[in-house]
Order: sequence, then C-alpha cells, then structure tokens
Amino acid sequence: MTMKEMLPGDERPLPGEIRELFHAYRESLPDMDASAGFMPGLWAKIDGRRRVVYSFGRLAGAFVTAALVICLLLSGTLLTLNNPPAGASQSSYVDVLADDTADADFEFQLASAEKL
Amino acid sequence: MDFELIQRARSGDDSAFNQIVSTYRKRIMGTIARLIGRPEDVEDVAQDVFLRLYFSLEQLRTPEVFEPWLYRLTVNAAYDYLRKQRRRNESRMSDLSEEQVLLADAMAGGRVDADEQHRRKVRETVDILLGGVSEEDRILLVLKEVEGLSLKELEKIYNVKENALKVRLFRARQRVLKAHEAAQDAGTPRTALKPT
Repeated sequence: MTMKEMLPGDERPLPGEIRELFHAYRESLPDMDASAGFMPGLWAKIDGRRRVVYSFGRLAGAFVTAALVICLLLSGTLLTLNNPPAGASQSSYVDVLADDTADADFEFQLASAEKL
Repeated sequence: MDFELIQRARSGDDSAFNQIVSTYRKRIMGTIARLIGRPEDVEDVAQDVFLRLYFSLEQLRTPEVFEPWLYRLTVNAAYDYLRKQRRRNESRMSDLSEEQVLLADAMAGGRVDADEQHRRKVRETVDILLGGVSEEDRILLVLKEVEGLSLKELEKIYNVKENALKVRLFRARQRVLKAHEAAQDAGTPRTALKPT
C-alpha cells in the first residue's frame, strides 16, 4: 500500500460491527463523578509530593553548603602550604649557610681580638 | 477555561485549583474509564492526572491550549497505567480484576441485572479487542472512535501534523482489524453487541 493510498485513512471508517461495538462501549462507560474521598485523596498526594520536593530541596541545600565548606577548607589548607610561617626564612639554603658561616667568622674574629 | 483562574492556581491559590478540578473531573474520569476500561481504577488515574496538572501548571503559557494539554496529561497517565497493567497481567495471568471479583460475587448472589451483564460483556469484548494492539494504538483509537475527537483536536493533543496522525490512525485501524479477526478465529463470543 502506497503512502497516497494511506493518507485518506481517516475517511475510511472501521467496519460497522466494530463501530457498533465501540458505540456500545461508550454507552457502557458513561462520564462518572468521583467519590467523596477523591479531593482529600488528591490533596494527600499533592502534600506527599510537596514533602518529597521540600526534603529533596533541603537535602540539596545541605549538600551545597557542605561542598562549600569543604572547598573553603581545602583552599585554606592549600594557601597555608604555599605560604610558609612568618618566622620562616625566604632565602635559599646556600644563602642561609653563607649567612651562618659569616656569623661564625664574625664570632671567631671577635674572640681573636679579645685574645689580643 | 478562565485564564485568571489558572493564573490564581499557578500562584498557589488552592481554591482556584479545586475549582479547575471540579470543572473537569467528571469529563476526565469518563475519558479515563474508556481509555483503561477498568472503572475500579479510574479515580486513582484521575488523581494522578490532577497531580501532574498541579505540578506542571507553571509550564502552561496560554489558556487556549489548556484543554488539549489536560487531555495530553490524561493520555500520558492512562498510557502509564496500561503499561503497568500489562506488566502485571504478564506476571499474574490468573488473577481476576477487582471488578471481576465483585461482579462474580454479585452474580452469585443474583444481584446483577441483565443490563449490567451486557455492559460487562461489551467491556470485556472491547478489552480483548484492544488488548491485541499496543497501548499507543489503543489510546488513539479510543480517543478517535469512542470519544469522537476530531482530527484537529487530536492534532493539538498529540502535537503532530494531520498527515502523520492519519497514517498512525490508519495503521492503528489495520491492527485492530487484525486483532478482531484473530479474536473471531479464537472464538470470542460476538453476543456482546446484541442487547439482552
């Protein structure tokens, strides 16, 4: 069957027997009204869903806060590691050693002068 | 539908939402009953429809599309129900529906009149017939052939072009005809159509 033949499908009705059956089906299930518990039941479901959404929102909020705190702590730790304490020397090992040797020489010179 | 009422419901006015539900409840429940064919589960599915409505009202932009949109929610809820039902039936073939149990009980007590028996038979026959096609075909056929919706209305609900809809309808009709032939071959009683 080609597409052209298929397009007027809506105009090609179902056989009378099936149409009658569908009509009888429609009659057997008329519009119906809800029971007295319909609205309370609906609102209970709405409230239940709201609670889930609220709990999830709170959980997500707590998660974001915890992530923020962890980020701040990690940043602080990294900054501390990169910046040495105030008393620590900024000089290289050779400079410190040279300074130390210079001090020792000065003390040695002072001791020699006292002996003289 | 009054757009102001929808706006009020969107802004959290519960009485406005209740009013919307009251306006459409009966019609939506009737449509669900015919889509799923099980009167005992209609309220549950209808509550699901209005629950979806409540939490998606913000997405509605214009009042003109409210009704097709509500129908779309109804179709989706019925579709979900039918899929769950099919899975349940596959796993527990021998179980009777609640309605069947109640009816069998009532019949045993001689409390069911001839009309009710006829209606039940019609529902069973259509259920067998539509059970032979997919849930998508079932819903499309019920909306068109039972609910009597026009192609224009279906276009809005399905959000597809007319030609695509015609093709889908054509194929659904072909499949239901095949299911009808198969049901006849299997010896399904045809007396359901004859008034008792």
